[in-house]
Amino acid sequence: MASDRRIGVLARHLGVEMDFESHTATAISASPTSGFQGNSVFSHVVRAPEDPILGVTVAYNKDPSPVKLNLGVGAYRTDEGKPLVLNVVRKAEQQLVNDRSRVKEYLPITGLADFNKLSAKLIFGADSPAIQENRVTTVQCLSGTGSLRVGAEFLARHYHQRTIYIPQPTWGNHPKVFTLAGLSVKTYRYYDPATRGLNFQGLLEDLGSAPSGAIVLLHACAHNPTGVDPTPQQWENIRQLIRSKGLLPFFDSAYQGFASGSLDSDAQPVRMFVADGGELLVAQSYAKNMGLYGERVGALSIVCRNADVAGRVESQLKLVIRPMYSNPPIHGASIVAVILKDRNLYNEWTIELKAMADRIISMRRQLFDALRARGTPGDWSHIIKQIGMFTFTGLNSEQVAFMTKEYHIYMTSDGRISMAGLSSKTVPHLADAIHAAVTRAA
Amino acid sequence: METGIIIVAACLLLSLAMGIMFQSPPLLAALLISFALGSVYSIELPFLRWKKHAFLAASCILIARAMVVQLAFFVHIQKFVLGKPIVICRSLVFATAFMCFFSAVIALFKDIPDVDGDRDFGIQSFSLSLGQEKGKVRLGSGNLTAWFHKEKSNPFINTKSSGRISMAVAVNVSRFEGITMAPPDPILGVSEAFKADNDEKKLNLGVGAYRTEELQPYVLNVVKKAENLMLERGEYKEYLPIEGLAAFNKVTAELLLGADNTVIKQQRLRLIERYFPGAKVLISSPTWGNHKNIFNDARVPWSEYRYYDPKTVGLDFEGMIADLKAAPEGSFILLHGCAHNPTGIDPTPEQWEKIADVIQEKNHIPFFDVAYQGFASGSLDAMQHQVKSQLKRLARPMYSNPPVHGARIVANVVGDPTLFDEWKAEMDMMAGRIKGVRQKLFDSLSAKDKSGKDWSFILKQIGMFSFTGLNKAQSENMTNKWHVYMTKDGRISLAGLNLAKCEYLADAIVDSYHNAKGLNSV
Repeated sequence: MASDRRIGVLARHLGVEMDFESHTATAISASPTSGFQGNSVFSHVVRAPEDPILGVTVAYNKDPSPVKLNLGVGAYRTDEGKPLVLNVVRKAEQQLVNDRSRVKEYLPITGLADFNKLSAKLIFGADSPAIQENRVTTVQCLSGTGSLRVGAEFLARHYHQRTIYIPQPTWGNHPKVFTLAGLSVKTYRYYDPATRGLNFQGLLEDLGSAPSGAIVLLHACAHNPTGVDPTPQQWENIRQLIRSKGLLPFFDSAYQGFASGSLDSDAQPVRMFVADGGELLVAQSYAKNMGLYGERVGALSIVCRNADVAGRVESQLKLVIRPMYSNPPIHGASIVAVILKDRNLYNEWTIELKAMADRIISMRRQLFDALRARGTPGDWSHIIKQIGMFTFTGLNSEQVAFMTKEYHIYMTSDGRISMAGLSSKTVPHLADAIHAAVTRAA
Repeated sequence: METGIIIVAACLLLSLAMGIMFQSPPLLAALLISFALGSVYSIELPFLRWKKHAFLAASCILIARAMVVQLAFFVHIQKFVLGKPIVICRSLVFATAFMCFFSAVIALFKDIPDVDGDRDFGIQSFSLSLGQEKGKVRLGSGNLTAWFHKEKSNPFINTKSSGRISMAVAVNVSRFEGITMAPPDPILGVSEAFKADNDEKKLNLGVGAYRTEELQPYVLNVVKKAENLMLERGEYKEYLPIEGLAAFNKVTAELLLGADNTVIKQQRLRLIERYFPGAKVLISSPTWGNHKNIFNDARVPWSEYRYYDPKTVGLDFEGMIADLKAAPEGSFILLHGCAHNPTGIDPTPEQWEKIADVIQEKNHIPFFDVAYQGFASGSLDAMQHQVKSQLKRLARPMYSNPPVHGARIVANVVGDPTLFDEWKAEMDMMAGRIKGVRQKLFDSLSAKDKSGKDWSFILKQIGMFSFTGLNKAQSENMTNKWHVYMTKDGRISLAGLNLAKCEYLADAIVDSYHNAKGLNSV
């Protein structure tokens, strides 16, 4: 039974034992003793492990060392190592606060209408035929995670093929999002450790052998965590394969404009799939490219064959969202709408965005040069070939642990570093750490 | 793909060469016609690619295999190979007729194996139109079906060969085609209907959002002050921890339980946002419309306890206690902290005590829904790390971490003594306006309704909402005749009412109650 499967998944996820016969979670069966006697009905609840990515920041905060470096979370830092709120964002917020007619009423379930339209234009292009033909439905969601989750729940309920293929490796939260939504998760080969690049043959084979209609998760640009993106020609081959097998593409677009510095270039893979007239889903996030991390701003767009289907799909999306959180938060989406609507603010945004992307590219260059200067063994050219916020260094978990212990470098154990967390001052320290890890540790 | 092109081109040239070399017009004609038919069948150009259309595709197949092959080859062999005269013989007629029938069947059966693929590529085959199963049943016996499935591997019957080389995707059938239109949300749908109404007398008593006496939305002054403060400080917008803003969590707990509460002092309090799957929950009848959806989507089994008594338009206290006692030990009981939604009927303090007794006696766990948010408090002990960590594990794959802006506003307001006092004053003002409206509505109803019905429940109920006791038909009359928008369960939001419209509303209620079709109070 589908509900049993979901309960079972949820229970396993929480580390709770399930007794399917009686449909009670034995780990939290009602304790005969009440709270007054000091025993808890939750006493059998198992403590869940810390989230690996956010846990890095927790560990970093606890470290008293003055040379500590946080290369864990993908949040942008300036060259002074500080968080950044974009000027356009401050301007937009000021505008909102000054506007005496602004209210805090509930948004519709699908979110702020302007925001939705503008977000669709941003990712698909203002002249996109799909938009002009009203074939796109866009709903405001809680950043990228929320968009993925709502899209996945929708597919789990309404799509005939409940399997999703995700790249190996991918963002740590992806498998959990899809599993808890009710999809079954499989992987396709993506990263080639030997070349530290794309395993294109493996990708084609694995997607080629996927059952017809299966969902495929694609990173629109700046693959997380590897930074390895297909070339435009490879994207075209992937598109042909996906279309010929009738697979359903689900794009995760968290870095539009952040990867190359150009919003349009970074959107090309998505637009390619729209241009052939086919259907797809896109989860958009404004966390990185507008620096709105904590405001949780994002959008889910579903491109359908025709306007009638799009209308029905939107009505079903509302049924997913309403029992989850009723309607989305207003603040972040308002900021985005103000910026995207205003020509001047939009242009200023593109400039600030390019500056962030350029700084990251410059950090890549500096780290690469620093490693070469130290004569660190190995080919480190992947640092400048990879794109986006992250670099898959190729270091293993022992080397990472060594770097954390001896050099106070905080990063995820898969060897991923966030280039955004580096600065010109800290590059030498990191280079030293990598050099030491590679030459000493296993 | 290049290999495919080379093979096709080579075969074409060879066959045409043979046709010319053998000096047989019928043979050459047959080859040329077949080439032509194959081209219009497969090539992706306007007016071509006839395989997309069931009838045209069938025609190609029929003409090629039933007529051209039979007739032209007969003439070629008969006249140019054997040198005999052309005579219409029975075998020719039989072969042609049989092949006509055979081709028709192929045309209908060939696309059964890959209906999905054809749908994706916009190829409107007969099988697609009829549906895979129907196609089989209508036309063939089991034997015939099995035979044609084997045909799939026959190289001479390859419907998918050259077709897939072209990458154009015809815009035809969506993979979401089967999705039905969902019904509009009953509560939020009311506001949408209200917006569409052009009548100047219209009144929106649907959603529980506070309105001023001018019936305008209201942003609290303390909220504006807090936002200005935050902007001046230039706060960052970094990710919050999964459990949210610490300052916000702290002030919220203090607000609920009071800062002196020993539980908070010992830092044993935590916020529970979700149920664990498998546990059963009891909800009041009625309750907020979205509660059932929430529990359904979370796969939490639920049942109802009696709450609203339509006869008294008050609390069915005996029924509630009986149902709580009858529930299995250790059930979760969903309680509205105050201002029950949708009825506005709250237990008295003495009744709350008895409810608490029953809950303790049955070892139930109370889950409070306070002010339409999802907070609950529980006096739990040292299990806080385990519970919190599990909550985080649910939050991360849903939205990663919560939005910062609203939480900061709350933390700033509730955490600052001056702003906190200002907030209390504004809340007094808002609650006072609603009380004033209740009084005026009651006075208007009592004056206009000569039937002697007791309308005092309007004064006894509390909060934003009032359960008028109107049934579905009467509520619809309110909307259709009087342009008063409310939910069909008879709930009105007093926050959307002002003193100026009380008399009008009273007229509408009296009229609907006495004159509208339907059962009087269920």
